[in-house]
Amino acid sequence: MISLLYKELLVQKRVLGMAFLYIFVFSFAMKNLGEQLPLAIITAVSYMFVLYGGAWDEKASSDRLWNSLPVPKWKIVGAKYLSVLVYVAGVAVLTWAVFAVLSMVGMGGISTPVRLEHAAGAAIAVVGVSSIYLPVYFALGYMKSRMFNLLMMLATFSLPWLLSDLLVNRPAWAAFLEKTRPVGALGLVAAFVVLLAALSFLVALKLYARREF
Amino acid sequence: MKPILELSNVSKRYPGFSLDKVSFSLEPGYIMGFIGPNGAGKTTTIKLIMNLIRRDEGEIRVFGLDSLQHEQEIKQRIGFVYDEGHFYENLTAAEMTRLIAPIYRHWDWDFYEKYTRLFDLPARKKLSAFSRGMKMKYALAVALSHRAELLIMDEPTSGLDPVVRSEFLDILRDVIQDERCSVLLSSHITSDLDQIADYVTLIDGGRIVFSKSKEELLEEYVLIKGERSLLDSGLRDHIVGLKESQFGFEGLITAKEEVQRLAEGRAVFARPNLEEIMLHCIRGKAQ
Repeated sequence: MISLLYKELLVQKRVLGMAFLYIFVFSFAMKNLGEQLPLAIITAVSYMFVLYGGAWDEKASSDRLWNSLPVPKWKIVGAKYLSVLVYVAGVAVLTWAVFAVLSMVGMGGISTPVRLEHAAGAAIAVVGVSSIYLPVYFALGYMKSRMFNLLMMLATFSLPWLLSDLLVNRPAWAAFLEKTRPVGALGLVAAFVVLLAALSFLVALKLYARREF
Repeated sequence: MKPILELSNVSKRYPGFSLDKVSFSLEPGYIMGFIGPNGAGKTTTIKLIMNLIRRDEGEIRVFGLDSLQHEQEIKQRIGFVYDEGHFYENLTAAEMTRLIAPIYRHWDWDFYEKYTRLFDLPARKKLSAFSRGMKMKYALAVALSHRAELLIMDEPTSGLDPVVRSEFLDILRDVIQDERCSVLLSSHITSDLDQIADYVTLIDGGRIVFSKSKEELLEEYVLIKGERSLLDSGLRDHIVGLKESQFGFEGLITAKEEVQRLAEGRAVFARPNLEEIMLHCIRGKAQ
């Protein structure tokens, strides 16, 4: 499992520069998001890493490799799910670093600091979307799941806004969430996403076990 | 002695192609050449052994263990080299090895260092910059560094130029003599196996044509050449595979004494190589 997680980071280190560039460009392009800017950037860039991870695996025909090695399928699938959290943590640190530099040099008028809530919110969003995408990825492989990818990409970009709209602008939801205290909105959504991820993992594992390489 | 690899009536059906009741076995310490034309079922068989695809019927036992029930245990003791690169090409050889090494219980870094030095592999070079020959040598180094007892190689020499191919086979022969592991080596380049195989299994159209020791094959089959008129003297019945031209014929026979009697000194006999045996056996099946 450690080897598989290490692999996710190792193959992606080449796109680290691109991640910096994305964060930098998004910092300007999505400036009007205000308070939600770090959340949106971490979510979008982390999900890009999830997709890049699949692309690298496809390019290397890695399914043939990992399934020829003494590695059980649950570890191959599990590592992909865990890597989502690793990406979010990594991208949150990168975003924090870019924001710190931008605000230090006074560029772009960045005033929102990257907080833990942004990383937590992004983790919920990316894990949520990945939980829908990864079973398709494990069932069909990266190439065949590309169309689905596109839809997921749109969902990833819209999810933070949809959630925030749901939580802020809908009085009925606000009233419901008020009642759920002290768990809170984030806790409730997080619990749902954890459940979704667990279910997704089981489905992905079942579908992956049926694949032939 | 218990076979190290045993396939019994293994079948796999695809639309347009079926692997039909494939059975053969490999004794420990030997090299088996798995030959056949392109599309004969060599890769499908290897994928079944490695559990990369599911079999429809039959049984596969490796080290005496069922390949499905003991998959992880078996894969700890198998080394594999496939025809295409299956490594992350944006990584260096050293990085790729750091990913693979912890997976094997018996990984031996000294072995790995020994083979990378022997094969002259640059550790810090990206795998994308490796030639095909270097990639094969790297795959072999990885396969040998966890003290594999069985090497499964799927067309490792295809696409290599003759010089690199010969070098790769020399390395393989030396290494196998030293490490005493068994090898299943699929190839459609039979001259490779003339040099190193102890046993030969021929597959064609998803069916095993024969699975025998190389000595047995070379004793059993004889190449015959002569005038076409000879074929009418009852010779045709003894011919496994036949190629006719307007000047004469070339065929593969099994009963040499009987054919010699029928030919009455008008035919030339020669020892066939694996390619001639393969071609005539396949041709004979088609005829």
